[in-house]
Amino acid sequence: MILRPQWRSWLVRGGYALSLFGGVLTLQLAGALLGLDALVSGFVIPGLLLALVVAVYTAFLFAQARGRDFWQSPLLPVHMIVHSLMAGAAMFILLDGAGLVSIGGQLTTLFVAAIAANLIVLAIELYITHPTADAKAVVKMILHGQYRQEFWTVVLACNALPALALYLDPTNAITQVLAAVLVLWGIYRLEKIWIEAPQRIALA
Amino acid sequence: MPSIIEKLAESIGLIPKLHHGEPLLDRLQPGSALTNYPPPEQWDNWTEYEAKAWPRREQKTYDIVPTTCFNCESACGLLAYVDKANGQVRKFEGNPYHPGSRGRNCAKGPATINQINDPDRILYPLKRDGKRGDGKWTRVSWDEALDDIAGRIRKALQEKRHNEIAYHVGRPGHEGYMDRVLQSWGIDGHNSHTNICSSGARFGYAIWHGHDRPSPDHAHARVILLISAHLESGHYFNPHAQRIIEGKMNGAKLVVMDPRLSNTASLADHWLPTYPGSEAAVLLAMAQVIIDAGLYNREYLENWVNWQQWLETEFPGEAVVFENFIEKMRAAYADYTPEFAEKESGVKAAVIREVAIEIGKAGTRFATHNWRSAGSGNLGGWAVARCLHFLNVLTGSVGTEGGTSPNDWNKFHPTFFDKPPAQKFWNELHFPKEYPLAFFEMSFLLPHFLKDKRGRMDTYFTRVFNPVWTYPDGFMWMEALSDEEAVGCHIALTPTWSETAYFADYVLPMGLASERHDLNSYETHSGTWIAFRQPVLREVARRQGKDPQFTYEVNPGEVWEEDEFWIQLSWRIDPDGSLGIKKHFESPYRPGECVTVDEYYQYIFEHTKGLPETAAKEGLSALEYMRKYGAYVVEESEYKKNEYAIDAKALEGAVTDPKTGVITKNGKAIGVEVQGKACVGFPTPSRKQEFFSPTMIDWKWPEYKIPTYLKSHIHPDEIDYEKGEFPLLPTFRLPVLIHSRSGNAKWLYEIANRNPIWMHPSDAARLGVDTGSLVRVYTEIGHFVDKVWVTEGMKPGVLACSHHLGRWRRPQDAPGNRWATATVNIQADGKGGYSMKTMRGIEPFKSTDKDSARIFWSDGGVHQNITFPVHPDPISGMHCWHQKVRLEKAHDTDQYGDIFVDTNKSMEVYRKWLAMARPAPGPDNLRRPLWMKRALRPVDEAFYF
Ligand code: SF4
Repeated sequence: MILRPQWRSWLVRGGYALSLFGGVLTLQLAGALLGLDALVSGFVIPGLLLALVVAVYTAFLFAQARGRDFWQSPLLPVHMIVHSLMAGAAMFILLDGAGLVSIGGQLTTLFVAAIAANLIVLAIELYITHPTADAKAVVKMILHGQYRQEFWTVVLACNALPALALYLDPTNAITQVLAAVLVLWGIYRLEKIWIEAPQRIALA
Repeated sequence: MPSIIEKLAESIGLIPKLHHGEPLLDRLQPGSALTNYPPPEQWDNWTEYEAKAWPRREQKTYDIVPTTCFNCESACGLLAYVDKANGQVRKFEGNPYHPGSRGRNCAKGPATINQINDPDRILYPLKRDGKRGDGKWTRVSWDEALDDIAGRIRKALQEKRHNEIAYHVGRPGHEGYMDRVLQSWGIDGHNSHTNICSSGARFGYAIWHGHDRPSPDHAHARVILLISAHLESGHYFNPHAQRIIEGKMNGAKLVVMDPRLSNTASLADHWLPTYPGSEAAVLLAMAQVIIDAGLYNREYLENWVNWQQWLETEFPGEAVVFENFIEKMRAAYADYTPEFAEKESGVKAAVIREVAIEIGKAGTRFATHNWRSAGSGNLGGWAVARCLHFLNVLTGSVGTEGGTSPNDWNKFHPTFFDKPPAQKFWNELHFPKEYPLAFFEMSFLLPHFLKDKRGRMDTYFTRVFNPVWTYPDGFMWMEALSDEEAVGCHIALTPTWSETAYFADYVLPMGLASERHDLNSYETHSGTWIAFRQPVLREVARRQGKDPQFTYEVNPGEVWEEDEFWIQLSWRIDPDGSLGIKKHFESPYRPGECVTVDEYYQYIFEHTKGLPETAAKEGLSALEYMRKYGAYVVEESEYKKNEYAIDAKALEGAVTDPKTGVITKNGKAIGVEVQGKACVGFPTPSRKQEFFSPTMIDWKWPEYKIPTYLKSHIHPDEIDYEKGEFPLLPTFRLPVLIHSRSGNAKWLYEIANRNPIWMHPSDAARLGVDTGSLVRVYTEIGHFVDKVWVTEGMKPGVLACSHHLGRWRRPQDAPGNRWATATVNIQADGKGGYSMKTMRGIEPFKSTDKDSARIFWSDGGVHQNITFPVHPDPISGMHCWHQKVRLEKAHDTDQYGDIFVDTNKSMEVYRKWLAMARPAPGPDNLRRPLWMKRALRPVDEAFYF
């Protein structure tokens, strides 16, 4: 895949983005360890751009599976970005809890905002877009069918509840850590649903 | 072009180097469109890349040889790619020069490669050891087999036991060949599979106009009405599918009657999920709407329907004028309202009206087709084709562009180097007196007749024929074939093992599509063509300057072909010529010597209209042309052949009946005068379309003298849903399989390998079953155990189970078709009861083909047909396939695939249906109306008792 690349495929593009991103991070890590600040700061902008690609390329990769109607949603890239923001914020909160970094109140605000944005994106994805029958069938599976329980658990326990708790008590360290763990778990479960459910539709 | 990264990686040796800078082979066509083929000039030396070697560019050079597919009746063109390096066939693709298939094939065409490479195929002639059916075999030579069989036949002929020799054909398709052979022997020994397939439709068409098959011109139609799934699995699968879609692309409306949401129905503009057996009621309601709306074709009806005969016979004293005919017809069908049809069929009256009006407006561009399906499922199923054709007659779309022609108009009739006289015998084992109108042989009653001691068979050939599995009442076949008194010697001519071959005395391996000669011609569309099936390795040998004497010299093992087999057998039956057989097999080119298969075809092609001239333009003989291209268009589209003038010479000495216009010569009708012109008309007594059938009256069925609707044996009146009863449709075909012939094709079985019971969710809820539930399905003579598949694609209240699946072999049988067969244990209780249990499903096995170890499916389906009794339709002779069944949840001890049958009950049901027949003689002590077609037609005198 890497050595005989087929450039139109997002698998290849994503593969390269991941490799380059990994390279940038490695360099920055080396810079930090060796005290070469220029190396760290010099790669911030390329690192950010690559991080963006790494966060969303899966959406384009899925969209290339033309038979899977649910993945054709124009909101899928937004969905991915929002999830990456949530996951990133959650990780920093956990690192903060472990005393490895120190975060300001703004990150918690961003975290709550990202969760809120996620709920809005989910609502639009599930209630507004998706014109085809196959996509509708997936929506039905998620909201009312076999994924119903898991989906609503994720929405309530891994999105609404942490957001609400942090909104009411943004500085409590225990709340922060619990919220971060729940959100990470929620992302994992939700993406699993997003990957699995559309593939349950028989194509022939 | 490789990217920079790829080039770099190759140059530093990270990945293998695939780009050597050598010139690439031309692509046939840029992109992926299938519009181009290897040009025929290069067919003897064609180079392309080997697909399996990818990404390496491995060049392979082939001889490309045309032949035809042997899997279904369509005989589509194939091109065999024979690898020059090892002399083996690498693959099959479509032959662009074949007028029927036009370069395309269905999945079964290319799968021929699986069949010729099947590790289980029979490679040498085998003779049984031990008792028949014991599964022990010894290899014999072709000479031994030929001499032994020829001796038997010679003895029977000398002892005037002509009726003890029979040839029973499953897959036919070598035009006229066998008729010639059997008539040279002077026997009435032809039997076929027709009456489990198409007699219903054949009778329905024949009673109208003598021709017994339709040839719809789908491509030019405005409305196409299909009864059943013709698009994916109808008669002429691929050629028809192309033309139906062509018609649709040109704007034709597609109307489909089928209780099952088939692929065809899913593409229809109107899907009419009729209750099975109610189709004729719907068609007659449509007729009523068309008549009422004045959308009938007055000119056609007036000129080409025998309405005057109807009025004169049935309404004496009344005015014989066209308006009166319409009035009387209106009255005759007054009860067939769309509302009545809705009651019978479950299809809304408004839809029936709407479709009828569309048909009326399509006028002469109305293409219709019914072949098996409703016509072969129901008691009185022949009425479906009759009522369908009624719509063609009303709209004047018989034989028009975009309409429906008789098949004979688009079918080729070869000229043979020698034509033996018709036989003088009438064989009542095949044409019993109970079924004087049957189309044709009552083949599925053969075991019952044998059990009733109506006769015996000394020598019985089965050709690519598997009644033990395909026919109803398979245990009766097993009994009959095991009875050495009833069947003296059973010779199975077959490319593959089958449930029937296990009960043979000789199993003689015959070639598949690319291993044999045949001449094919089918009415796939408007136009007439011929195609040449040829043993491709023999043709390659010929191109290399070799000249094998017999095809088995080049085929795998000693696989032969029937054409040469019959010539050699006939020659040996009559070595000294005293029986008068030998002379029919003497070469037309080398007097006194035995004809070769090449000479046989050379003569036909030299006498095919226009072929020698076309061939000469390329500097080829007619035979060389057919070897090169594999097909030839004999006639482009021709319509309205009934209006052809009788040629002046034929008219000499003919007389015209002043009242009916029928023109006769030497007592035989040859045409009819219409609008002052002597036309050939149709091959009926009136030489017209017979709306009114005096034949039906003469042969004791006056109630059906005009197109009528009959209630089927599975009419809702007969079904008690409270008791778990249902009608079961066991006939529908899957697009990738073909009866029991596809069991040796791994690709096909990989796609389709089970046959669950289709059931609507409402029925499943009522019975408390779900997809995968095991159920016991009781028929009149036993039961089978199968799984349920719940689907909205089935009409509520109707069940269906597909054909082709549930193949088996017993532990003692030679391993055959292991891609498709389960191993079963059959037990007889000695009182006529038989049970079958699956011991092992389909399993992976080690063989020369690595794929055999990769078989991932274990389910091969359930053999439902063996639990069906015979249902001979008293008129058409069709086996009425649909079953009234009763469903129960499976019992605790039941296992998937279990079967039980009581053959005593088989005989009871057989007698019950036999009693419904109205036996010959008909008028003048006839066995059968003289004007009707008959397979292997004997001399006219034999028609009289
Ligand atoms: S329709 Fe399919 S099976 Fe039939 S002859 Fe053509 S390719 Fe063969």
